[in-house]
Amino acid sequence: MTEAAHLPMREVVRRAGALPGVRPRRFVPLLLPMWAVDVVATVREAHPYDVFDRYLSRAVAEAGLTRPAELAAFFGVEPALVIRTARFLERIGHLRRDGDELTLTELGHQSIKDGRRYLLTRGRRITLRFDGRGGEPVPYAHATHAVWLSEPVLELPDGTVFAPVGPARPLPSNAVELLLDRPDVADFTGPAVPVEVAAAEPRPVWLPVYAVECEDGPLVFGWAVDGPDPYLLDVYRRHAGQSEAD
Amino acid sequence: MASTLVDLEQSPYRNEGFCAVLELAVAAARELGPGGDRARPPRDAGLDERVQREAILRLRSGATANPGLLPLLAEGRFAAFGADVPASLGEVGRALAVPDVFCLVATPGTARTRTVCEIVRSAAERGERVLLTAPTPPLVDAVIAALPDGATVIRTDQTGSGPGSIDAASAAVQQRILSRSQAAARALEPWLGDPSPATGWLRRLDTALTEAAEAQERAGRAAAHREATARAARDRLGAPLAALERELATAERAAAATAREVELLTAALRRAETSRLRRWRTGRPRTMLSDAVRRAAAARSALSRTRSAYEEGARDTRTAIENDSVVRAAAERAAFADLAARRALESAERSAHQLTRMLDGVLGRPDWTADHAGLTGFADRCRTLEPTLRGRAGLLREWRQRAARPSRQLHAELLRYADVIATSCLGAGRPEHADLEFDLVVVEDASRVPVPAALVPLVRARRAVLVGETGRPPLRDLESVRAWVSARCPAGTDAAELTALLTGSVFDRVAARAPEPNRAGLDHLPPVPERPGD
Repeated sequence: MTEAAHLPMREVVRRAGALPGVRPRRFVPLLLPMWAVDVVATVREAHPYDVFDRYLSRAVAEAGLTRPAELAAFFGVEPALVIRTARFLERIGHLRRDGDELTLTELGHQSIKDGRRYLLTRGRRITLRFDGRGGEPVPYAHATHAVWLSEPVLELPDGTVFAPVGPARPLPSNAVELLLDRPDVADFTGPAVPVEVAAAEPRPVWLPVYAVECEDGPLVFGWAVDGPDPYLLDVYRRHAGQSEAD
Repeated sequence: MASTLVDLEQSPYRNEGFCAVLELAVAAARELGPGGDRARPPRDAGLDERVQREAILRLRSGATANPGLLPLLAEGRFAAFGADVPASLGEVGRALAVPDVFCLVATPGTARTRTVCEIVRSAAERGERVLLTAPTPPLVDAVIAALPDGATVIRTDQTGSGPGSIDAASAAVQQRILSRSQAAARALEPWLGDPSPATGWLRRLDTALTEAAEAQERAGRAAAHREATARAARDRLGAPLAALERELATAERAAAATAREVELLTAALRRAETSRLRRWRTGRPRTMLSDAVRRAAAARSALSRTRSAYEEGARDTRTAIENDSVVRAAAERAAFADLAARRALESAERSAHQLTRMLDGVLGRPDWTADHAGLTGFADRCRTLEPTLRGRAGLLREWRQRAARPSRQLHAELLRYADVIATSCLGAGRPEHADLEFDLVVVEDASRVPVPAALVPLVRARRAVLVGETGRPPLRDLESVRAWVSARCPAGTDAAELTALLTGSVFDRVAARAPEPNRAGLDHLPPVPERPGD
């Protein structure tokens, strides 16, 4: 496990040394305390529209056309095409049929607004990760391109030992709800955006990083970014501030 | 190649032995060479094998459009059917009525082709999506050639843009869209743009209605002023007439009083004359009556003179009022204001006519009345409709621009929504068919299709019609298959089942187990009546 957990120290030394104007003084391998919450979610995934499903949805939303016969006449297509497309959109939850009347659901309206055909998938297991200091969600790139340790122990084959930076602060009980309410939620969850979740208890995890003390201030290196990572630097500073305060 | 996502952990994991033998049959077929469909053109053997394995995977995991397909093939378990089916229902009706699989036993020929056509046509007319497959393309061609126009039929194994190909179907749909939506696009054109011509006329209507309302108010004020001026003039010029009016009233009262006196005296005289005691005393009343009659005649004469004088005075007063300069000016102003109000309303009416022409052909000719209330109601209705019609016009323009340029983007939807998709059995497993499902699959010449190959279309349809003949020779040489099975069949595998799958067709397997309602022999039934136009 330890072999692929992080870059070897010499690689980080090389990378930091290659940065113009940076004079490293000390390399400190650290384990940042974070939180992971495993949830079973209904996720919303975006797909590109085909041609007719998009125009049919738009006609219902924007042009006040709601009956298959008038939609077929408007588009100049066979009624069967409208009926089958409507059935498809109904099956994926974009349309609702009331007798001969078609109406867009909220998901259908949202899809038209964003120009993406959203599909809801239930029962998806995903892990949401949060900063152990402020309870802020971890960006998707960092959540997916980092090695997360379930124990605060890491020693690389070159002998580098990572030390934990204190314990995490308790995760706010509404951290998941706050994340789902964010307009930029996809930045933290990736393309499969959870819209409903059944959350479990958060569990502590540790993120290995190299804090590099330089003459002009610290830099932090992680897995997700090749060079110095501004997000991890921000997290590191919050933790460092906490440690000093403690 | 696209694959279908299936979850083996979630499925009812039944008939595993049969599925394992199916997989083995696919592997054996690779070594033994092609079976029944030797006549088909050479294809990618690896692709063929993959699509068959994928179909077996779907069967095994229960991810088939017909959830009862696996027990049907493995155990011969058909869905309950037949109790409520009229005995008079022909083979076409039964083929459409069975809940799972129907076998039509018929020798190749025109009657069989016509029956298959009728099944496909009837299903498509019911709004069902039909997958038509056969081991070789000519069999599909024969059925498609006999299908009537109207249904959207796509040959997915047809390359290029030849008749029936997806390219040709796409081009035809685009052409139809452009021609059919042309009239609507023209009708909606006035509602296009910001501001659109229709919006311009609506603004004119609103402006004209506002002006008409203001003019109407001015006309009302002018009329009131005219009346007030006339009243003042009457007061000013009407003193002599008032005196005459009083004289007339006096004369009327005098005439009425004398007339009453005559009446009373006449009655008294009549009573006296009819009385025997007073008959001799009638002289005096008679004299009084005579005097009263004279006075009444004089009073009537005076009344007549006074009335004439009053009427003449009234005429003179009216003329004087009409000729009064102040009254005339007020009347002229009122007339002008009224004219202006009428003209403003006419202007609104012209705008309403323009909007009516623009609405005609889009929503039908609207009704309105040419008064202020009617025009205001019409303007309100146009204002309500304008955003919708603007949306329609813009959407239709985009749609027509989209339809005007050649595109492969329509292909996926055409495949998903076409009435009939025709392809070879293995062609039904092409990547673009991955998520397609059908209401009915018709496998023509199923007696030449091995079970693994037939699975490729069968897993994609809720119901199936297998068409074939019985008594055909085995698909492969029986001895070679037995030799392969005895040499290569893994221990624990049902060797008899494997041999049957390698030598028998899907038709042999299903028809032999099908209950009576699920099969029909065309050769023993009266031919399908010819439809008009055939």
